[in-house]
Amino acid sequence: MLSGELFALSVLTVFIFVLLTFLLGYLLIRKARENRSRKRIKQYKENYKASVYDYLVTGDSSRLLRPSGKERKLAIEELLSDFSNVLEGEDEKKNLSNYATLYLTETYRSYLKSRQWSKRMNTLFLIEDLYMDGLAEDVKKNIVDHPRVTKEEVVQALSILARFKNSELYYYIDLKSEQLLEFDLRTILRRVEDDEFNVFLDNFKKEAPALQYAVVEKIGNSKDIESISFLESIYQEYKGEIKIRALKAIVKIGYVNDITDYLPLCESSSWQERMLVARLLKIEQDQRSQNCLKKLLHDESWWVRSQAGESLASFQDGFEILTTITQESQDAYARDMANEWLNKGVIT
Amino acid sequence: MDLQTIIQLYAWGIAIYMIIVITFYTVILFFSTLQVRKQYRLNRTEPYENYLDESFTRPISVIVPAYNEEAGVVQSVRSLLTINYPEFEIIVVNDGSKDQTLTIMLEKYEMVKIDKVVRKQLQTEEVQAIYQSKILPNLYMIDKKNGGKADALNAGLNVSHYPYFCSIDGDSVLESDAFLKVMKPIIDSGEDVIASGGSVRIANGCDIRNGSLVKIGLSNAPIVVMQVIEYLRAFLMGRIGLSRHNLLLIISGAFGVFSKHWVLEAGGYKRNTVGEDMELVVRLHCLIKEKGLKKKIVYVPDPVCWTEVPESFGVLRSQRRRWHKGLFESLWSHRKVTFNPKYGAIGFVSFPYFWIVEFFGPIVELSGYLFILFTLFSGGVYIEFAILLFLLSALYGSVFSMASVLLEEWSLRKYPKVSDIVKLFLFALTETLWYRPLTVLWRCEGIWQIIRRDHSWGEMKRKGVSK
Repeated sequence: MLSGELFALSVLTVFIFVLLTFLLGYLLIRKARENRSRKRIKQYKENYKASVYDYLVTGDSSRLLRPSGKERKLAIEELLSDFSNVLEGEDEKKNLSNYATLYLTETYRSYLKSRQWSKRMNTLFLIEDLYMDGLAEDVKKNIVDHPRVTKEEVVQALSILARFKNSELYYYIDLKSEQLLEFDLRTILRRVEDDEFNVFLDNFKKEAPALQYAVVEKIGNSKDIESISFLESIYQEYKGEIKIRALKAIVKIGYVNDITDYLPLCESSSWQERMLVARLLKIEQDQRSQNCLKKLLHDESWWVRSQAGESLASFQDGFEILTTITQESQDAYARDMANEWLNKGVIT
Repeated sequence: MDLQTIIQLYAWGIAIYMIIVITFYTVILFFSTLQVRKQYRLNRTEPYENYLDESFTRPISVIVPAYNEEAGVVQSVRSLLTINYPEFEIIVVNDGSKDQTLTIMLEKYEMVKIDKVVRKQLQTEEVQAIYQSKILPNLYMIDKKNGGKADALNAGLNVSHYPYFCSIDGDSVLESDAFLKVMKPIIDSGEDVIASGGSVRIANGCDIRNGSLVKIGLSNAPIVVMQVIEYLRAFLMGRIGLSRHNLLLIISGAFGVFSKHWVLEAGGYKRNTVGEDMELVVRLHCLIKEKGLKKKIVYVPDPVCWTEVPESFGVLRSQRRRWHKGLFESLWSHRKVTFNPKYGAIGFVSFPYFWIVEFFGPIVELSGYLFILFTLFSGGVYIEFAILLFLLSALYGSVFSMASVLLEEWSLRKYPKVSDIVKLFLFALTETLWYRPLTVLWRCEGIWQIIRRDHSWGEMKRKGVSK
């Protein structure tokens, strides 16, 4: 009665059993080969380490190792990548780049065309690490201009162009701007050096908000006091988020031309602006700052109160001011906050 | 209808159920394989270098709820301190422990009581004191009255300073790049990802010293190896597949990062529930859908948190009963989501999956086992059918288990020895003989407890994973 079904089930059982056996076989062979290969690569790395290091330091081409075979190449590649993280001198870096260019260019050129996403990504990472600027055109052609490209690849490719000081960087960023988030732009911009960065400053007004934020962020991170006027002009001319970003960058740099320009922020309707001015007022510790901070210690926002407390605590007579507030203020939140900052001194 | 027809119909009912489940698993496996294969051999450190810059990442508050964790809490904190991440704070919440958890922490990390203004955004049991370490200013300890894990997490949330927080169990050990990896999708998405969960692996059998993982190993205890297989399957197969389509309902309580803003918006952790982690994720999903937002909850296969699992049948039994009760509570309290068009794929795929496969699955399976037993004793033509069904279920389970091992080999490659694979394979084959029926039985016990309204939790005894 059930013979048809029984037959089907038996076939299925045998099929699954065979599938499992194949799977196990594949996994075992794979693991064993992988372990063996890893061991050999480790050995090659050990053998080549001294020679590669000698070449990188002296640049003596008679010491050049000619890697042949996949595992040897991988060993050299890993060694170069390890060294690229620790080498400091310009000559050494140049030697490293020459070495990689000589032996790895063709391999990487073909990898950039690979259909496998992870292979293309790994290659992009290595091109940057090993400073293979000869591949910049390939990166543009096979990655940035290619239709199948993913966002991760675009970011990494543009980071490479930034590091190689490529003159077309701004053009490409503009081209891909819809795809890129602020974080991506920051990642790319952190590699851009002064001369190339000026293009971004010159075009600031017409840039998309995400790029404007990234530019301002970079200035803040560089703590470059000469850029203060640029930031202050943004603070004066713009409203909303970009104004807040400029303020943040100014706070990071820790210098202003005239604190009076910022005092009106004590009355701002945005809590972020009030918090940032509370932070900024640490710089100019005079009576006007003190009055503003005392007011902000009674603010409705916890963040503003906390920041005002911190700034007041940094004043020379901060202890007395905060003590007075704990004793005289009608506002329980302000008293609590003043108390917290009075006791902050226990732990630094 | 005669008995024979009834039995035949019954057998076919089970077979159809099996086909549905297998189809679902196969589809999920397909998507997981695509995802893992895409990242095959991708460099594991390079993509994270940009995230090590302080001004690029968002700081994280790490909340460690601790109830009677004297055996492992110090090592756990030590493990957290070695984390490779630009800015974070650690908040240990002593949830009214009856052992020496508080004293040990105060002594080891030279903690002193501080006056701290707390933004009480969530209601919790009374906080008795807040301490800060003199040697590590980013280490805090909250001492509060006992209120359960969810309450402890809420108290930690009130005290936390940063926009993202990570909840982590007191007995877990994190790999050093875990935060970087779990935060990457949040940062990459421009904060469209509001929660991100990492892989949890089993620490039993590994060599862990002073809160750091020294060597990965596979335990010799069959019950642990079976759980290893189970975890691989759940994380590498299930979660990758579900996460791809924003269908994830679980972020393991052992390790996950959440946006504080959205968790507060959702009302924090729900108290008096067994599965507070799943409950929160479901609530976040509901919030996203109700507000019509494009936010996502994702799973990252890479970051690894090592945690201790039960080595005795008794503890495993109560854990599984508890999990099943937690699953029911989450599904039941959000039952309006099931097949509700307002909730999209969550209502039409995730919820039905969790109801049919995860929750009612054990009942169907148990009845399947009973059916096999029945036919064995009653004899007749069904015996071949029963044996074949049994063989098939044993083998298909093993196929999924081994496929997970394959995914692990393609992605993380954590287990170093060839013999580990053989061991995983052999144990996977025996799963249907003993482990599966046992867990099915325990989960059915969970359902029975729900029916009887038995709210006992069952204790998890820990010996501490670190030497």
